[in-house]
Amino acid sequence: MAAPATQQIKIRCNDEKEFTVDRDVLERSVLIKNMLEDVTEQQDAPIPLPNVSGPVMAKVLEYCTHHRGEPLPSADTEQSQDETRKRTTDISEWDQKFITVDQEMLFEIILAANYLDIKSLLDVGCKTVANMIKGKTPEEIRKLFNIVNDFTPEEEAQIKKENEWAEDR
Amino acid sequence: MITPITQKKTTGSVELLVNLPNELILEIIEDIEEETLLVLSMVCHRLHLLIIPIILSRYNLLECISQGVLKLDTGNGPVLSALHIATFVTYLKTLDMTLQYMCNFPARLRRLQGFLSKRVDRLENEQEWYSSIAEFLNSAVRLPGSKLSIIGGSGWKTQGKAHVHVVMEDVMEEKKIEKDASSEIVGRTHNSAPLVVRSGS
Repeated sequence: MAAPATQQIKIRCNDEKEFTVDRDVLERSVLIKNMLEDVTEQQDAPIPLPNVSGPVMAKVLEYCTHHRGEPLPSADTEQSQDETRKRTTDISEWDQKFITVDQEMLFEIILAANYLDIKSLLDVGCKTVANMIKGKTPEEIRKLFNIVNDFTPEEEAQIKKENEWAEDR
Repeated sequence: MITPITQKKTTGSVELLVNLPNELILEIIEDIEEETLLVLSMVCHRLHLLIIPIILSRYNLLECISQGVLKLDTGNGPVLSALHIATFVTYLKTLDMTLQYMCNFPARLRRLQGFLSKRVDRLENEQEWYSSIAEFLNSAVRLPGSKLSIIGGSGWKTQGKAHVHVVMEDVMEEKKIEKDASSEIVGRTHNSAPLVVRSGS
């Protein structure tokens, strides 16, 4: 018997938060897709996702719901995928709005997308961080991401020189 | 509530970016061009050690560096910049380099000098070394459109001595002029072994 089109799957996050989601939405995650394929019998127990919290999962599900039905990248299209991905830092308008979150959430989404294996969401997150970095000085980047400058004074001097010559690269 | 990224206060002492696993940082920088990568490599040690090798590998130089054999083409501006600030390249056996006369030539020489000076431990007289190598290289390149090759160099560390062979090519006329630049550079490494850079043959 084929599974009904609107099969509902239950998942449980690391903060005990549970979601009941349409199977095709959840299958945007290759990790969950593979898990579901391995399960032959109907199962009522929620799928545990120990690396994702409820608020982050809610965001991820928002993304998956919006993009449901779109073709998933498969192994044999990876080559062309890679090529189209190169040189483009464009993010669609909806994705851009979706990813306009605070920094903590942004990095949580990246980590969750990586864990859940949602390539397109990982791309959106990574490109967003890349765009934040562009056009900034090292000091501005440190400030933005709260990074401590741990270079020795000697290394710092060399870097300072290189920065002064930046026009002449 | 959604807060714009730029206005968000930093979250305590959590360094979100540098705490990502390497694979995710590499994913982020995958499409970033070298100029921005250079800036990123100047932020902190972790990013430096991760990103400088990425820049070098984009020019297929990573293997060479680890073997101490460096083959350079100064057309690759970011490479000289990356080498100039690289904190971990401490060993150089051979330098094979083609310098092309171009608008940024002096800056490229400065970087080359900065890079080389780090490879010979502390120089006793950095200023002397600097002016000597500048004089040497400038004397070899007189005409715009000419190409200067520096081939060779051995045992920077072990013998405290390096030989440089200079070949000048007239790019316009496509003929080779073997130039015997007579300049000699003498500096001193930390352990008092003399450093000699002179033209070959």
